[in-house]
Amino acid sequence: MTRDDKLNLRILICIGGGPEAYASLRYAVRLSQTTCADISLLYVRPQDSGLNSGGMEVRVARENVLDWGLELPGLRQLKAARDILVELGEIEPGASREWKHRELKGDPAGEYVREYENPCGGIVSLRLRTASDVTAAVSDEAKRFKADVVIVGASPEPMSGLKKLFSRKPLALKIAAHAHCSVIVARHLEHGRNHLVCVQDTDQSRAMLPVVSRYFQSCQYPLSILSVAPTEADLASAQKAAQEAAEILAELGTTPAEILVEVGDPVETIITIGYDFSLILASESLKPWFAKGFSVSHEVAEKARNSVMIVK
Amino acid sequence: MLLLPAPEGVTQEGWRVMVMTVGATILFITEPIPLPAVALLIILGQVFLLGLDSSLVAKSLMKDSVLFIMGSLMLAVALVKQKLDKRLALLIIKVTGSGTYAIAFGISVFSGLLASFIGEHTVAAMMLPVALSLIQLSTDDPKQQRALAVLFLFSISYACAMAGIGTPSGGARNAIMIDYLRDFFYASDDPATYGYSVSYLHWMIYAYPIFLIQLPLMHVILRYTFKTDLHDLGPAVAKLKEQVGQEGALTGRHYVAILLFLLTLAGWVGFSSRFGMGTIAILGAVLFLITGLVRWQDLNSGVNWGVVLLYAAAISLGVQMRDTGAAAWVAGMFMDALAPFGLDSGLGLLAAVMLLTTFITNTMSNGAAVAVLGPIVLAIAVGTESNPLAVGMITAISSAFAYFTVIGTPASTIVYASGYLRPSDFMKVGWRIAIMSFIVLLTASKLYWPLIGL
Repeated sequence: MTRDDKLNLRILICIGGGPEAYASLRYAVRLSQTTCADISLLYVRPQDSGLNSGGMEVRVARENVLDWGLELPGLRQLKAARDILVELGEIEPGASREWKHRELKGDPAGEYVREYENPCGGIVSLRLRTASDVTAAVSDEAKRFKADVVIVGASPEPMSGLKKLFSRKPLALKIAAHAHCSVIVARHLEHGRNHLVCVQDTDQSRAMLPVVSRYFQSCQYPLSILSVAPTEADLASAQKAAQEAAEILAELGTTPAEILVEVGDPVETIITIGYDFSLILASESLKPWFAKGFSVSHEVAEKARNSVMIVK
Repeated sequence: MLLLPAPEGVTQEGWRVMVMTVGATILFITEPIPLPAVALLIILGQVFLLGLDSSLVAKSLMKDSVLFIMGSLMLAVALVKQKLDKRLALLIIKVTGSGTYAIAFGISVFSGLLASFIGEHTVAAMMLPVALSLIQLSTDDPKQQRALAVLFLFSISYACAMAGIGTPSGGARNAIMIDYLRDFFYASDDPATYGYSVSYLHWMIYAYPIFLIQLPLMHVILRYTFKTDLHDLGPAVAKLKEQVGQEGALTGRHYVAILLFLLTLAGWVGFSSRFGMGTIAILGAVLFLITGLVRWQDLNSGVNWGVVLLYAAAISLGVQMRDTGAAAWVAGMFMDALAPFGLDSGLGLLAAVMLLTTFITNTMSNGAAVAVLGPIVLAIAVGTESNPLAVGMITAISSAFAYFTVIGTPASTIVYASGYLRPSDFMKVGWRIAIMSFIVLLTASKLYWPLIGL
């Protein structure tokens, strides 16, 4: 495999120590093996407030921990991710690199970076950052890394009822609302099964198709198209959207395996049909970030039990 | 709220101070803006909203307790930089042996005894690598590592939190309460008020036994809440001895650092009534600088000066709460609410103050909690004709009961930064330890304090 800059993806994976992020590594490596992707693994540690630590910077304690030769929190999780990449052949066994500290503009803590080259010449980097706002730090890193897609793990059991009412919005959904690029909200993200592209008769939906095509040429997974009409009266519009999407994708070099047109509540229908697919893809909403939770794509990302990619 | 007319019973100035206090408290808890900005807003509010002279406001910011906070933070950084922790680790495992629970108790005892004098953040920063080393050397299994981590790290943080009330130098909250008691009740021409100028030794007599009783009870609770399969850490202890042993014997630099610390401690015990705890703390920090044991750059980067400013502004606002009558007004409402339950006097009042402080201290840092609550609880003491000293001590001591949240105490924040703990761990064990602390404190206030004339 050699690098093809047209298809070469830049994938940012948020490592938080949870199983979903580690599971998504296999998926990312599959993408990398096809297109020689650059992969960045990011762990963002919440910044400590000086008030909470009584006025003594927690950095003093951290420097003391480093002086003992112990690892900073976050490095353990990144190393576990690196071990998985070694196991998958993305990083050569025995490859060893030192952690480098980099200054970041506007970020007093900077970042720790360790970089490896994968067998086809792509770069695999492990990054540890400290930030008071994890969502903002991930969005910032996605811009700096020029990421095509951010992968962030989410609970496979979506919250509901009182728990949802009293809990904070899951980090994955906040990142999906704020990041400039496409975001995969990963739940049991695995390769090998079909992907489902959800379309509708809107400019926003049509605009995502080149991005979708590039993605599928990279991953070479079979794709299905789904268009949902909220009522029978909208059926013709839904059929037109599905047909048009299939034609545009075919022109771009990606032929869909099947076209599905359904009538029903868009969110529920997509979640029900999408359950059998590895990944559901839906276009980003034009709503502002604070109202995105009321859009179809973000509602699907919130309620689905499998992975959802919000295409931007 | 500022535009609303002042409620009955409080002056317009008092109402404005109330609004500023509520606003500052919300900002302390939610942190939508940088905390030093809250301090600056408090200063500006006193000039623009209360019409105070800016020189008077500036003067009200610098008290002995603020000097103490500044000096003790510098001392904390200076002590951590001496790398005495490795020797401390050797001493602990030499005393405790290799039993897991014996080591956990040893960590608690050493952390507690040290934290009662030099501040919990210092000890937590020094003990954190000791515990992490033992955890990482003991096993590679993540589950077993976490089981050990919760036991060892909580042994540090809760011991530090409990010990912080033992002496005035144990934490900023103690210095703040001492300042409030002196400011509000002490008069140099009235011998009857001399008791409100609490000396270092008197504070220790009131509070140290409470810490000593809590310590073993805390260990028992931790032991039964966080059980581990690893009962003997012999191999890890041997590796740690080998690693730390390579450091060699104590050098002259270490001896000088220990001597300076002991001199500072002696200064606090013997001279703080005359010169002020803050002066002694500053003197200690200056001696570390003069002898070259620590660089100014290290102190400058290790101390969060914004927090010092924040404490200064909060104390200044507290004084305004008293001067404008706002504290008495809030205290009156609090007493009205307590009266139907019979909690407006005696042990009931102390219990109510303890619960209120425990609630507030779990939502913000304990120093800020005492700064905010101090004027109110002391006004309650006056209003109910209770002993202000007892009420003040109850407030300062129960501000250490921040067992439920990560942000409650500096030591909890520092051990949480290790990455091994979850916020839910604090809840799991926190309520058990809180009940134990409530019982110990109320029993001490009922049985022990009257014996020593408090």
